[in-house]
Amino acid sequence: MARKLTRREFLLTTAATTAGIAAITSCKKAPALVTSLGEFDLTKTDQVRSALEKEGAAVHITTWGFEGLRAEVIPAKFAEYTQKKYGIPVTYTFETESFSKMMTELPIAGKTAADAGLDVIDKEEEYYPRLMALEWLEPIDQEGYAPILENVKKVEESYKLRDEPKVGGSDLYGTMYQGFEWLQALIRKDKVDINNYKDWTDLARAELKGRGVCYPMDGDSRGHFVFAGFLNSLIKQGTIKGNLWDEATWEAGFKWWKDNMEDKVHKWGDIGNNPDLRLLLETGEVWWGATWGVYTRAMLALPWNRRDNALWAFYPKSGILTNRETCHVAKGTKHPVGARILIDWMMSNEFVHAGWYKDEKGVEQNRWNITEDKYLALYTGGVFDDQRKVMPEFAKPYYPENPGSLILPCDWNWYSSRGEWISKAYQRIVLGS
Amino acid sequence: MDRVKLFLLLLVVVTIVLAEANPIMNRVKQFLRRHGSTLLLLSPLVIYMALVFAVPVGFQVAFAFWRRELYKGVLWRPVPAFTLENFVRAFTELEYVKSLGWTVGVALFTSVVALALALPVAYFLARYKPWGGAFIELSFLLPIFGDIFTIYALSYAFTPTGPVNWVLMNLGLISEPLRLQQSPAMVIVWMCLPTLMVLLIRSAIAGVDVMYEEASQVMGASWLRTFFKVTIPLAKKGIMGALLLTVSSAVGAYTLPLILVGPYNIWLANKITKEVDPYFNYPMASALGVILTALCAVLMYLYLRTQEERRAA
Amino acid sequence: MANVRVEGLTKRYGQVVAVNNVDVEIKEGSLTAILGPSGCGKTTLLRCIAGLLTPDAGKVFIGKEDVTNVPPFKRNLGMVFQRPSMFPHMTAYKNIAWALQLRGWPKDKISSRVTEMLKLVHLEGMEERAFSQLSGGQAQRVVIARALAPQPDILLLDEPLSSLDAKLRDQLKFEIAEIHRKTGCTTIMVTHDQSEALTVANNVLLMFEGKIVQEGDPLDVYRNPKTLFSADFIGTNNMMPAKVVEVGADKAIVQLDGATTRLEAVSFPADIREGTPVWACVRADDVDIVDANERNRYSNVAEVDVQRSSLTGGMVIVEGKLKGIPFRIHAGGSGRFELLDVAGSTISCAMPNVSLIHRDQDDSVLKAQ
Repeated sequence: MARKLTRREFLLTTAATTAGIAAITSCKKAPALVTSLGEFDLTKTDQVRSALEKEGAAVHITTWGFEGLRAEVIPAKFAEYTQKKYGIPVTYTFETESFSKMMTELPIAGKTAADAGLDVIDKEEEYYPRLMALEWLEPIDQEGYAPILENVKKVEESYKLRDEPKVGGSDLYGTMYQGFEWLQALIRKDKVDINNYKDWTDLARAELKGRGVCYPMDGDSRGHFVFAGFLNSLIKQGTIKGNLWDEATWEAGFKWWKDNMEDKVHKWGDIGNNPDLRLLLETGEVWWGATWGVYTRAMLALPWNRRDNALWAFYPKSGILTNRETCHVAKGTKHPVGARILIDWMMSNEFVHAGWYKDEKGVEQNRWNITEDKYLALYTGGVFDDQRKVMPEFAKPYYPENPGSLILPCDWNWYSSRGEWISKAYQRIVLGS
Repeated sequence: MDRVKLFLLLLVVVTIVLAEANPIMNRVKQFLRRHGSTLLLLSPLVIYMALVFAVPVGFQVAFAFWRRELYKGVLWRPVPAFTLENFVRAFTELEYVKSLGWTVGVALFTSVVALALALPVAYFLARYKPWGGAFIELSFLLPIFGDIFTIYALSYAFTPTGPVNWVLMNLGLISEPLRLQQSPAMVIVWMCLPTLMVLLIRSAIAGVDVMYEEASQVMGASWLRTFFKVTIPLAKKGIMGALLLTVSSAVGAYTLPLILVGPYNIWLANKITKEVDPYFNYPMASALGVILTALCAVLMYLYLRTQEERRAA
Repeated sequence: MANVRVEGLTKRYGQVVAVNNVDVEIKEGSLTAILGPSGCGKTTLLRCIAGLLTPDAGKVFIGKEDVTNVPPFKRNLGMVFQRPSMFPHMTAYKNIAWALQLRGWPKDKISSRVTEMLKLVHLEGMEERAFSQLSGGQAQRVVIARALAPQPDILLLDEPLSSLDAKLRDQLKFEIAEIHRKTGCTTIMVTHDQSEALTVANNVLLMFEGKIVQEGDPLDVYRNPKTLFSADFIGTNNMMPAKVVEVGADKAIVQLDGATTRLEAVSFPADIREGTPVWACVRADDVDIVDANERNRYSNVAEVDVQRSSLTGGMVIVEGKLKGIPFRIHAGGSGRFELLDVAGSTISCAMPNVSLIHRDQDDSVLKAQ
């Protein structure tokens, strides 16, 4: 230290350093060139290939795990598909960060999903109102993209989400690939007489006291969806009067739940994913559980159940609250062509059946080499008729006759803002706290 | 322009202004003259610490005063504002009050139990200095080092067919196995294990001169009486310090309840994550975080107070 | 008040034998000092009597009771440690009161007893003082008061004055003697400081390497060392190699080796014979300087060639040689300053008190008998 530093020098140095850091961090890479469709004619496969090359042949998606397949199988299969069809393999990567976190934090930083690198958003339909509110979506089949959306065209209208504003002549903001996916229940048929179980309210029978596993109502939206099923059946039976999507009705429903159902639950948790809870069902300590359709079927096909034949999928007749996975294109995506090719592929027989379906000649093939219980967890009923017909034989007994009749759609606009209110109402009414 | 860049620009402008504002900064002048070079050497570190630590914590504290608004009727978003409603809610709504009470109560209870369990072991280690005493001490720390393993091991140990129930049932103490899965009881059991306590109490007791214990024994106090009337009062500083340290870390219990009970439990740290994930209520989560941090800070302050040397009058 | 008897006491630390088969009896009401250098085992012996250590062999008796295996809190003792062991978390009052409570004193008697004890140690009015508010000496006094308050059988003091400064040490040692006089409690004090032992005690046990080498009245131990160690450790002794020439009932005559000088000794071991090699010991301060012409009036006169003479601590120390053997004189008295000028000259010294100690062939200075 040759001489003492003056205050002025110190402060200027600090200012300079800070400014330098600010400058460096604000240097962004030059934005990737977004394909302008005027340039490419997607009816021609070589031009599709050129378009993919120009935008970079990669797609980043946020999605659920597909029973591990999103890491092990799907990237390879998608690359194979695009190679075969368009002559260039497209890299498939998935987001590991929590999407809820991104939904809360990105807006604060003034960013969108596309800024965070997402091209395709695959989330349950419950997220749709919020994604639209955030303006994170752009319509799928805008002008010029139609040639690469053959499967999307075939999808039945009830699986399509249309909204304002129209962009590029399209209002198709989302399309589902799950025919039905809901929060149902499964029961041990060796412990009770299943003829007594026709509707949700039958789960309040005295014999099931302390014998159930359900998602917690306090904070877990899946618990709310299970409860919605109960509430709907109560309204249909006339026990509770009112509109299903109304706060007063839910409060009345919670009162009923407190008197009738609260003591029927032994453990609160996710029986679909939690091995400890699954074990309770296997040992018979627990006689019923509420979970997604995919996990219900997966558990039916577990080796122990095939041996003991103890489980029965319960489809309450008044309806099951449905929450299907839906694909969207992130607005401003850097890979618009790749994103749409991926979405189209996700609507295909190949993807929806996880590679296991009957081909044109009626021959069953298991192209992705998956196990039976994985198939049962992945196939969710198809989104157009021809798709449903090519289901493999073994799976037929596991699916309900007419799932469409059991679909209970949710008013997502109503539910989106009320998750916390519902949790607190449950605490207040049922737990008395 | 996005907010981060705005903040940095503000920082630059402020420092330039300060550099030129001579008359105002007179008192600070001398300090900087004396320590200016040191500060310059430290400034990359200071800036790093500021960006990586102080700024995020500052954001969190700022968040705690924000409001939440319903955007387009479907999305809850945090909105810059200055409101105390989050803190008011934290202290009036039963859910949070119960959580705070439970968290602090369990922290205190388990720390005291851990202390009671640690005392005999620590006394033995301090006074008899067995060979391998250091290993014994460190082995008590295993639940912290290998925490995931020990949590699952403990969880298994209490299953209906696990060793604990096997022993209890064979001894005839219970007829039906204990069902402690997914229950707060498991967390409490684990938190009662004296881990760091043994280390801390041992050094507290070692700091008590053996002479006092000998004097007490010759005076007529039996071993037990000496322990309670002489050793412990003289080790009070160390014991209080250990207790405070343990309580302040127990108050922040997060992974333990998460794994042993489930994602929605009554501990305060889990309430904070619940505010973030399903509820999207960052301001409330920040407020609860600030409360938790303040609680820990108070406990640490008390701890530092106990470690002060007492001066003779 | 009781006597203490120790039989065959042995205590080892690993390979080292700290107390080696010691037998001793300490009389009721005495003030015994266990004196010795560091590491001689005196503290170990004391702690065995206290019960803080369990001996490897032997027995300890307090009064008629065999207390070897009795824990310290069941023996009725008071103990004062090297550093003040006043409990810092209790006031002086509480320290003493608790000692009484532990021994079952009824509540109404405690208060007056505490006041009485504080008065005994000259600390009236200091009841509410805590350790941090007292000096080292005051704290040690509180400890003494605390030890004596419940009227113990024995009071044990383990180098109680070591941690205090010199002046305080002097003052306090007399206070200990005074307290002993007043209370009459059997007191055992361990110390390495011979002035403490010889001033304060009425019985001295000299310990060396785990054994008691000499015991007796302080003056006797001082004037009549019976072992080489005693002679060397206590005071400053001039040791002159000699041989016995004549043995009588109450005196013996020795001739210094390599000289014709003969000295008459009044203290000597009973088993010396003509020709026994001995050390003739003369205390440095037991020497009278006499005028050359008055030599014949004194016995045991010899010439000392003075090499150096200096003033130390008020005393004049004359160092020289007597027949080639190093000889030291500690001169007191009002005429001593004249001796500051005698360097280089020869002076006549009368040595009225000569003690004899056996001399072995392979003697090293510190070997015990």
